[in-house]
Order: sequence, then C-alpha cells, then structure tokens
Amino acid sequence: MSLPLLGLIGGHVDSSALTPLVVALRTWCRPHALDRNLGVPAAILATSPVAIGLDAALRSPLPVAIVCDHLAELSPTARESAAVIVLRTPGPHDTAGDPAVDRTLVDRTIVWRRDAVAVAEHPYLSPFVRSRWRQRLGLPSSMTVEIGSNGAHPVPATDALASLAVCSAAVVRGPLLVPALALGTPVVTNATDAARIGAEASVHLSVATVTEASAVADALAVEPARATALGWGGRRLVEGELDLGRVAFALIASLGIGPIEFPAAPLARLDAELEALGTPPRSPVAIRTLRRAASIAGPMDWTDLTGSRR
Amino acid sequence: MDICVCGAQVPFMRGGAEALMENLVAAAEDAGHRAELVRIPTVWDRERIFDAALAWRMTPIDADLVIAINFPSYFVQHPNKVVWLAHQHRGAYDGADGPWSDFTLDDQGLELQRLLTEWDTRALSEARRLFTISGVVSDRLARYNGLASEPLYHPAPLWADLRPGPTGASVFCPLRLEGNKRPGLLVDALAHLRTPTRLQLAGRGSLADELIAQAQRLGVADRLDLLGFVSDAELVDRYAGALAVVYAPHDEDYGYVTLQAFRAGKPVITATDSGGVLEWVEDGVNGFVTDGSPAAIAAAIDRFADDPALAEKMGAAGRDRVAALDWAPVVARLTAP
Repeated sequence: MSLPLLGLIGGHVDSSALTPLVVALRTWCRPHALDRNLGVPAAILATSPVAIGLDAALRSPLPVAIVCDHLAELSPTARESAAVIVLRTPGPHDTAGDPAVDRTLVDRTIVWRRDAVAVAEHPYLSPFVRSRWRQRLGLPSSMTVEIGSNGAHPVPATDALASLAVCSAAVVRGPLLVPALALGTPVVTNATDAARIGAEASVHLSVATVTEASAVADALAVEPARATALGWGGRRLVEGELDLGRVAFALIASLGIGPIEFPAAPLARLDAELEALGTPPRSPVAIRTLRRAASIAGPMDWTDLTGSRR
Repeated sequence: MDICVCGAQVPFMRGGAEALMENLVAAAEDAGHRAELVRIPTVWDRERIFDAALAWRMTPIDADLVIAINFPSYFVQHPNKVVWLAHQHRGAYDGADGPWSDFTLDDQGLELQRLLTEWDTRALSEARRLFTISGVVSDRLARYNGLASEPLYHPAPLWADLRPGPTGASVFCPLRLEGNKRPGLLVDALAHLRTPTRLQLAGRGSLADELIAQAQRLGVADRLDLLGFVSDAELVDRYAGALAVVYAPHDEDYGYVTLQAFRAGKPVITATDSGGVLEWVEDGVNGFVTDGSPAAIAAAIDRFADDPALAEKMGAAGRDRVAALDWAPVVARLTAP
C-alpha cells in the first residue's frame, strides 16, 4: 500500500515557513510539487491564497487545502470551494469569534499555531527520568538552566535542547518555550510568553518575573511532585494545542486521504495503541510487540500500520 | 452493577495484592454487585514487561465498571475505569538499581524507564477516579508521575477473626522472608536484647536458610522460632498471644501486618523508613517508631518485655486506631458515580 500523493502548489510568496508542516505531512502522505509525471494527486495543498494554479485547482474535482495567515486573504472562490483552510496564527485563535469568518468556513478551518512543534520528535522526559540521566552523565543531582535570558544559569544556544532534556527545571523565554514543554521540562517563564502560547500558570508551567525566575526554578527543581505535575501538564498542552503532527493529521483527514480512524486489522489496532501511549516508531518495544503479533497475523506489512510507525 | 476487578497475576506467587483483589470482589458482592476478578499473567523483567501492559490494552471487557489494582492491569481501557492502586512496577521507579530491579543506567534501561513512565502516566490519567491504597503510594504517584490521587484505606485479611488475647512473652512477625521485608534486621535485634524475649517469624522465602545461619552466628538461635507457613487459624492465635509485633520492612506500600497487629490489640515496633506502616504507628502511642537499628528495635522490645501493661495499653490504642476500617465505605467510594 503506497501513501497518497498530495500535490503542492505555491509561488508568488515565500513558502519556506511551511516546511515543518510538509515534513509532518510525510507521515501520512507523499507531498510533492504538482507534477503530471507523478500522476493525479489525491488532493492539492496550496501554500498560500495566491498560489499559482489555485483557481484551476479549485475548479477541479480534487479536494483543495489552502494555507493562509488571515481568513480575509481568501478569495470568494476559495472561501466557497476549498475543502480545508489551514490558518496560521501567532497564538490561540477562536475562528468562531472571528468577524472575517464566513460561518460555513468554521468547520473547514484548521488552526496551525506558529509555535507548534512535532511532538513525536520530542520524547517526554519526566523529572525522575531526567534525574536518572543526570546520574548517568555525572551531572549534579539538581540542575537548573536558563534559556533565552541572562539569568543565573545561562546555557549556550547550541546546548539548549540537550540542557532542556536533562535539567531539573528551566527558565525559558522565546522560541524554545514550546519545545521545552514538549520535552516535559518543568518550566518557569514570564506572563507574556505564557499568554502567547495559551499556557496556564501552575497547570502547564510556572510564571514569574524576571527577577524572581531563577529562584522559582531552583525551588521547583527540588519539589519533584510539583515539577512532575507541571512537566506533564506542559507536555499535554503541547500535545493538545501545539502539535504539528495533529495539524498534519487533521489536514489529511479533512482532505479525505488519511487512514481510517478506527483501524480494523489487528496489527494496525495494536500499532495504534502503541502510538497512543507515546511509543517511538522504531523503539525496541514497538518492534518486539509488532513482530510477536505478526507471528500470528501473517507477514508484517509495515505500510498497513497507522501513522508514524511506518 | 457488574464490576471487573483487574489485577496482575504472577504464577505461583501470592501476597498482599492477591488478598486485596479477592477481598474486594467479596466486598463488592456483599454490597449487592456482581463482581469478578480478571487477571493476566505478568513478568517483571524489563525486556518483556511491556507485553502484559499491551495485553491489557487490547483486552476488551464488557462490564459497568472496571477497577484496576496494580501494574499493568491499569492499562485496561474502559469508559468507566477506576484505579485503586496497590503499586506500580516499583523496580522501574524507587527500586531502580536495587537488587531486585533490572532497570539500570545503561542506554536501554534508561529508555525503557522513560517509556514506562510515559505509558504509566497516560494509562493512569485515563482513570475516572484515581485512588491508592495508602499515602505512601499516593506520594510515589505524585513524585514519579505528577498525578494526584486519594488514599483509600481498607481492612486487612482475617479482619473478622483477629481478636485481642492475653499478652505473651514473644514478639511476633508474619512476613515473606525476602530482602525488602528485612527479616535479618529482626534477627540482628535479638542479639541486642537485654531481656530473654523470643522472636517468632512466620512465613517462607528465599532467606530462610540465611536467617538460621545468621542466628547461629549471633548466638541467638535458641530464641528464634522460624515457623514457616502458618494457617490462618494459627496466624490469628499467634497475633493474639504475642507481647508485641515487630515489623520493619523497607518502604512498605501499606502493610497488612500493622493493621492485623492493631486489630489483635498488639502494639507495633517499626522503623522510620518503613513506608506505609508509619501511616498507622504513632511513636509512644500505639507502638514505637525506631531509627531502624538493631539496637533501637531491641530497646523497644525490651520496654514492652519490662512493662507488659504498657504493651496492653498501646495495643488497645492500636485497636482504636483501626476501628473505623470497613470494606463497605471502600466499595461505596470505588463505585460512586
């Protein structure tokens, strides 16, 4: 079973910002610049509302998705005929409350938060597991770092992600806030950054002023129960609201080219459970489980499996 | 309602969790429900430990309510899942690197530990209600998984049979003769006793021969009674006839021995690192909480031997301490909408 072809059309504007979405889509389909030599695509993705060939695509029988930054950018034809609108927004966006939204568009709009990251590429590391890694690496039993600030525990940018993965707690401001939360890092940030990503203080992260942040993080580092609850809360926020993988899945599902929602084949069901529990695609646990199951389900066809396990 | 109590099965092993599951089924039936125990075999080595979790994940159960008791049964999926947690796989958490755990600091061990933590947190988060059997288990759940839970205390096995009896001259302890129960510590304490008090240990385990050798080496073999397996009736009698109960395991989840001792009107001597036992024993009120050294345990035993009236008084306080324990409110909480 081969993945469905998703034809890409663009032009006129720089579409490099869409690269993370295209990468995430590769889990579910084969995104490729529209090319007759590759055959007829299952659907078309326009990288902007002014993409070259969009009008023709909208007149075709193929489902069309359009990426835009503002719904007001869409032409009347696009509003009427597009199967899906992917709306890139800087923060939480309520399409139902947007006066620019034609009511019929609401159900066809997928919100893509610009801060979103691919959760599948960020393993959840609880404070306990972090402490085990520090033990293994010979690092201090308690370790606080600061990213994007000049506080008491600064870290060079090149070491930022690795530091976020093993620290006890972190002060984080700026673009690495969402990756930090995705890793399950107990995070301290300022009120502005928290609001920017829709995070709630004491549920997803801790909020403190610049002068207090270091001390708050140091205190969090020695409170494992609170740190673990915050780390998990932050991870869940990213999984629910800021996961590029969910945007990609919602897009291909809305285009009608995704996998069936409830796989019937035993191997696919098992694989779906592995994925739902957060098991990395090529982890020994996934491979062992699927091989054992395949011993009664017949020769394993990895392409039968759902999602990212292929 | 129709209730499935879900629990792990380790073939040929029986302990507190098994008694808990069986007694919960009986209590649920007493409350007018239909209840059954559902168990799936489990192993503890890290290579295979995820297999049973996935088996639970893929096992469909038709019931009005499922109550999961221990790892990995809480991986069961059900729209009305309640967890009453006796324990997680402690070898991957507080027991890591310990003598009975294969979760070590190598690459694979760390990744499996990471994955198990994530799996556990997700599966336990699904529960409509999350209870534990003790504050100690709730604390671990908060520390390792960041999840809030409510301790729900229940009576120990033989609750209806246990009764106070005349204060005897021996201290008693029923336990599995395994490292985490620290029977050797009690034998060590014998060597520090000033009084001729005897120690009766009931139960079997891999340390039996070692304990005999230890007692001989310390010159206290004539004051150690290794009773082996004892019947329920004998267990009740041993409790009733003891001077006190000495029980100092390492970080116990709950500790039926403490509850049974109190139910039988006997004070309990324990240690500061004995976990769930400390939720019941109040130093100087219904027993003694020692620093866990053989000398301190021996001193506590000697105090009761010198003053049996003190043992009776503290034993009575212990009996009062557990007087409210009953299965009916436990079942009511677990089955509440």
